[in-house]
Amino acid sequence: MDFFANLVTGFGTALSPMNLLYCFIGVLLGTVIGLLPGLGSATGVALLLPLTLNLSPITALIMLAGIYYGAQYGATITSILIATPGDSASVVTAIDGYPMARQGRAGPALAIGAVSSFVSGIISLILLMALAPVFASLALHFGPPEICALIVLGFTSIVGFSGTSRTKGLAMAALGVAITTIGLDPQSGSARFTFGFINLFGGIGFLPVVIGLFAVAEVLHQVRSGKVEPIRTRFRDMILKREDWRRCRTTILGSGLLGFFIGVLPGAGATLASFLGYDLARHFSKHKDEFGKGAIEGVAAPEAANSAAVNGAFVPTLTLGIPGSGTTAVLLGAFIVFGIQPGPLLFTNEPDLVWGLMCSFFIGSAILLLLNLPLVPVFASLLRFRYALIYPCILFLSFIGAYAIENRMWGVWLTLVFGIVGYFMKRYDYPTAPLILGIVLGGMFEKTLIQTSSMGGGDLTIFLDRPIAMVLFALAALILYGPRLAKMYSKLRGMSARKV
Amino acid sequence: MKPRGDYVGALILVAIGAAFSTLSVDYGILGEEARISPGFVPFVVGLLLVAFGAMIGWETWRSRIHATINPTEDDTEAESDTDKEARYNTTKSVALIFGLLFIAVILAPILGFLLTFSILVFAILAGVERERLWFSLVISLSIGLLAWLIFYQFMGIRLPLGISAPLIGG
Repeated sequence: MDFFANLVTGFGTALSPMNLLYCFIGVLLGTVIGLLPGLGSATGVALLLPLTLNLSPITALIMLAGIYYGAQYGATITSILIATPGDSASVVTAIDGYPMARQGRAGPALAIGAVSSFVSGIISLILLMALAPVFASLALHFGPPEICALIVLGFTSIVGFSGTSRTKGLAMAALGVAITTIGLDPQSGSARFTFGFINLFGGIGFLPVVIGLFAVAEVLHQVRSGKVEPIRTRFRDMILKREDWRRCRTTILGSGLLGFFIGVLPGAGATLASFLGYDLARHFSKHKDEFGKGAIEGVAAPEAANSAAVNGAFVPTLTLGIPGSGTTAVLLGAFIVFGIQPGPLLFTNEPDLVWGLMCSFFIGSAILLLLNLPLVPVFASLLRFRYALIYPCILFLSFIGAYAIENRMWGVWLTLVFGIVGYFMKRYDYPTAPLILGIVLGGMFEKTLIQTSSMGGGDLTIFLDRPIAMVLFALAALILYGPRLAKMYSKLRGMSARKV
Repeated sequence: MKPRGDYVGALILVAIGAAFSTLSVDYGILGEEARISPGFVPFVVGLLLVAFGAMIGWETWRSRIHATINPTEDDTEAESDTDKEARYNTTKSVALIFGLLFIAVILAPILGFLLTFSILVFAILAGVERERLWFSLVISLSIGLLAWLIFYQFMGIRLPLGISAPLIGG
């Protein structure tokens, strides 16, 4: 009964005209920020935090949450249309979204991105409201060995991103992990591979690498491939068809649930969720061959996982006071600015605020959908322009975005270098996604491995005493070797049947 | 098939892997009670890179041998002069854009970020894409103005202004 009473209170707060207005402004500003390369939701929330200081705490938090949601979708738009992911979580969306756009299906790609985000967002919000404390206590069972095992599971998705050569995919993932070891060591703080170069002490930033590998490399690749024709599609081709929806239903549900659970785990984040969500969809899809070439499930899955992980990240933030992602860390800072202490007592001490905020997530999701769905044909029309006019502007915005990440030229240099690396990778069929995955997971993997090693006093057999970690390792082994074993088993059965 | 590129790629991976493995020894691989030290992960990853690089080289060599024994139509088909010229032109464009980007990144702190990258857009449109000068100018000025409004004015990002500071209002 309490749940429903809280829900009524929450919607009462969230639906006040003032909060609705600021939620709308937040979503709109967030979408615009998301459209700019490099400026992800964390930067967006941090940049716009000062605008909310004169508002009441609940209104301010609703607006910031709106920015968070809007930025996620804005990043999806650029990922699909110009292969320029606005932030790390939308990298996977580009893998199938961009080919869809080049095939004249930008409309359905953008629409399924918005719809899958909305649907999985709503499902995960219901889970967040109903079971936040349960998930929070479950997340507490995830120590460094379990997170380490989860990351190993994440690495298995390389198989799905490797394209024609699995060896190249594995090599790229290893290179990604190697890149994350540049900079200060997470354990001792000593500098590694910096050669006295001060800029390298902070390591190699993820976003400049993504902008270089995707945006700059893609532009140069398209220039090399010759004249890129403008894409003219009819309005009716921009609308989601029943068949598209039918193909994505279960994907959205499955990837959404997976994404929510990963989002709950502190530090795991939406990027890992989007990679695993994509891999899950590919495993269970009837159209495996289309993945990487423009499969609509390849857009729905990472978007659903990403959106659910965003909501999942609020579980540890609200219930434990531990940020579940970079953006929730900034939001946690906003809570403290407004004199609110997140943690186990927040639900008891500030029910209006917590439930109002959670209900505003519903409203924010709905506003996001209502705002962006009608605009899909407008966004897709960008591709009607000649590519020769678009790509210089993409380069301009990419480099300015790379600068804006840390307000220094170092990011710009990294973008240039990785743009060149990415161009040659594309030319010689080295897959980009495993490199990104290696960079995303490498740092976390090393950190949790060191922590596990310390927990076991140098003995890594500590993993054997952790059932959750063992289950995750078993799952990883099953994903890697399951299909091969199944093939061998059916071959053996065929042979024995012939003998009979 | 691009065997030469794959051999070069494999060699680069082996070299990077060897460098990581060798240098990481200085940071320590295993510490007290065999605990993981700062050099452990780069050492292992370096070895993996060497192994994967060697595998790519091996796979390329094997597929090349296979292609020599069983040539396909693609392998034997000669490239026409028109195709060669088109490929030469597009490669030249890519090289030109690389060069322009490199110059722009060097000049950005001196001339100012917005001014330099607006000039870059103009140079690509007019020089690489052979668009009309006035049209290239309009596009480059528009994108510069838009970036100034969004990044500099609205978001307050302090871009390097260089000598264009009086123009931008810094």
